[in-house]
Amino acid sequence: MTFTRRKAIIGGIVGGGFLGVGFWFARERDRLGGRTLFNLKPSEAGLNGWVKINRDDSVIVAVPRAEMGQGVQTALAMLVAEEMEARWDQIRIEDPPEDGVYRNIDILVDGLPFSPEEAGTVVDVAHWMAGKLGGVLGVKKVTGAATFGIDVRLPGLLYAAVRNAPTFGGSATAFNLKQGGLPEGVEKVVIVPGGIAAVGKSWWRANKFLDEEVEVQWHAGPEPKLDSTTLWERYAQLLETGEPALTRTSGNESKSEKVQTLTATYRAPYLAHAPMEPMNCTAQIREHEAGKRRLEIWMPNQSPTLMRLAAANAAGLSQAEVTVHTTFLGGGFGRRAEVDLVRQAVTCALALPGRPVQVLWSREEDIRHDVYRPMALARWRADLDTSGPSLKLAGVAKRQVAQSPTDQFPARTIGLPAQGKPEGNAVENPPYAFPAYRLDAIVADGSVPVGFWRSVAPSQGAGYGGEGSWLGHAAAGRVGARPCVASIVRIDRGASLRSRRGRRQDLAGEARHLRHRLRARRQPGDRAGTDGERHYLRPVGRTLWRDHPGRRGGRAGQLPGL
Amino acid sequence: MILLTVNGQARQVDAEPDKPLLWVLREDLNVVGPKFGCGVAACGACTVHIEGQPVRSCAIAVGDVGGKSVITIEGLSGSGGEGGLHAVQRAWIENQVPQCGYCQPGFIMATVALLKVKPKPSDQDIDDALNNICRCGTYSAIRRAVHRAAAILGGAP
Ligand code: FES
Ligand code: FES
Repeated sequence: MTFTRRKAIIGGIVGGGFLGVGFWFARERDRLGGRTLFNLKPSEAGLNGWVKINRDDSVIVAVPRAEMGQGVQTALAMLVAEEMEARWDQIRIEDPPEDGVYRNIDILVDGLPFSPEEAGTVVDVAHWMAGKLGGVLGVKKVTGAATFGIDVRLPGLLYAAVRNAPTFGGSATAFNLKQGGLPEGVEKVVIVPGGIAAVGKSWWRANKFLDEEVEVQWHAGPEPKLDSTTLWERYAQLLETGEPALTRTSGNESKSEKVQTLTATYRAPYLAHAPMEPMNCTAQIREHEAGKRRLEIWMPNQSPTLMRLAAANAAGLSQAEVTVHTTFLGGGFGRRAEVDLVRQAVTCALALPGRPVQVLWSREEDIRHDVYRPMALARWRADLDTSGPSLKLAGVAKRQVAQSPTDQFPARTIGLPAQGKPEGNAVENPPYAFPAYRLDAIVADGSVPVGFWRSVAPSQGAGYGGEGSWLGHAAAGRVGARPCVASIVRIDRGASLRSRRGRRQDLAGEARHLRHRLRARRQPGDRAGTDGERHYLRPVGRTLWRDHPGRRGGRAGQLPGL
Repeated sequence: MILLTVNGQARQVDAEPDKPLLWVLREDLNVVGPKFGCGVAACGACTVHIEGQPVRSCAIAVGDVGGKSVITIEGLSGSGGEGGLHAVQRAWIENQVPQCGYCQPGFIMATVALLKVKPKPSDQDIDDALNNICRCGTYSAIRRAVHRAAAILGGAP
């Protein structure tokens, strides 16, 4: 028998390999969790919360992160295979239990479902490895064998269709069955948080039943008469007179007498995430001994810890009595960090104890009841100094109005009071070396639920999309007879001529996406960091804007005074 | 009782005749490869083959499929040589097409059908035939993979 690292560990023999592995794992033991954490079976020995070894010589890796296209499972599994000198076919992946060590730190730190930084590293590594060896997931995903939330099948499974309240924040108070009773195949109608569910043996039947045979009395939400026109009027008013929740300045505003301004106003609409897999969650409550209940959740979700908390609260259980199984996600984009589905599923499961219930929303419900990417109104202003022989950009200012997901998310998921703060990524500094910059962020309140969004900063608060488009737009403008383009392009040149070191210092403590851009810039052939900027800053930006109005998150308004 | 053949096996279903094939597959027959995306024939996630033709199974009543042969993504593997994978599936893995993967069974089924009638499709043919929706935006990778699958089927290694 040759001593492999794996055998050394499982047999408790201390060898060179063990030390190697042991050291590697010991360094960050605190973050790795205890040896018994990872659902050990009798034939398995745990190294820590992340890796266990089976007597059949297989290595099992915990993959706690939501897999929705980043290749996380492949990447983590490959790292362990490499480190343990295991063959690729010895590696298996398993969902770990709920524990602090598996938490997505980014969510806690930034209140974001995922960050561009994570996408940078995890995705690159995953793609490189997957390209070399073929993804763990690839085969499953092309043969129909990947189990998404909607594919969970359990003995005795029931399906629930849902109608959510027609106004945001509304609820169902009572219902009436038009035929006087339940048709075959439908077992129960349950009032759930935010709506009403029909539970039965077929989702299709239950969904049709809700359409045709149920009359619901709704309690209206706080703004039952809300419409887009009124909202835009409210935002326009706030843009003029609203008190900024946050003001940020950098550089020195030049006070030259001869300043002419260019302004443009951008609007970004509410957008629904619309992940390809419609929203769903499966829950089952069981009495395992007299008076003691356990709750299991199967769900495509972006935050198992949060789901467990919400499920425990909804069921009146402790978190230790709840298990969350994270399935494949048919897209997440920030939508699947929300707890609305888990609350509805637990409510149904409580109404049908012992039975697993799979709540599934129709696509129509999904679009009507998303937590939307906030609509936003932003006014950009460029100050151009006309005192010299050529125009000089003296400063840029942005005033924006939008609701804040950062405010709403903790309030609706765990009941924290709203702070009135703008969404963090909507107020990051711009990636340009403006001589002076001023941001006034006004937070609108309102009953439309808003949430995090895949592209993070570029689309929040009519953000960088608006900014990039605005620069292109401004560059294409004129003050009197003089074209602005040179004054705008100078900003870019100033930035790119700085040494890498200087640039890095410049960015220290700055927004995450800037660090990300910097890293991207270091990789030859990867132009992600520079392309976008240049693109906008050349007159090409104008063409881009004309060809794709609104494509980058905003639609340009008029340029007054040109 | 409705009789149909699913992936080569004769199956009997006791379902309302107007129940869409998609839900019969997913709920009554436990064949979950075809996905629900929209339910209104708009996204293509539910695409299966009926008598060799690509069909959006959310929009066809099971009553109309009686006696017919249905192939789903699960029935595709094994029908095409190496490693049990169909050439289209191989091309998909080589090109690392799937992101979340949810839409991919539908795209793959549509591609297999396309390559039967157009063994060497142009980009335009691909865009016209594969009007499925991918929310992750894998369209360009899909195009590459379709060309590669065409090459494999044409004898390329
Ligand atoms: S679910 Fe059938 S086309 Fe979308
Ligand atoms: S791969 Fe996610 S929807 Fe297509």
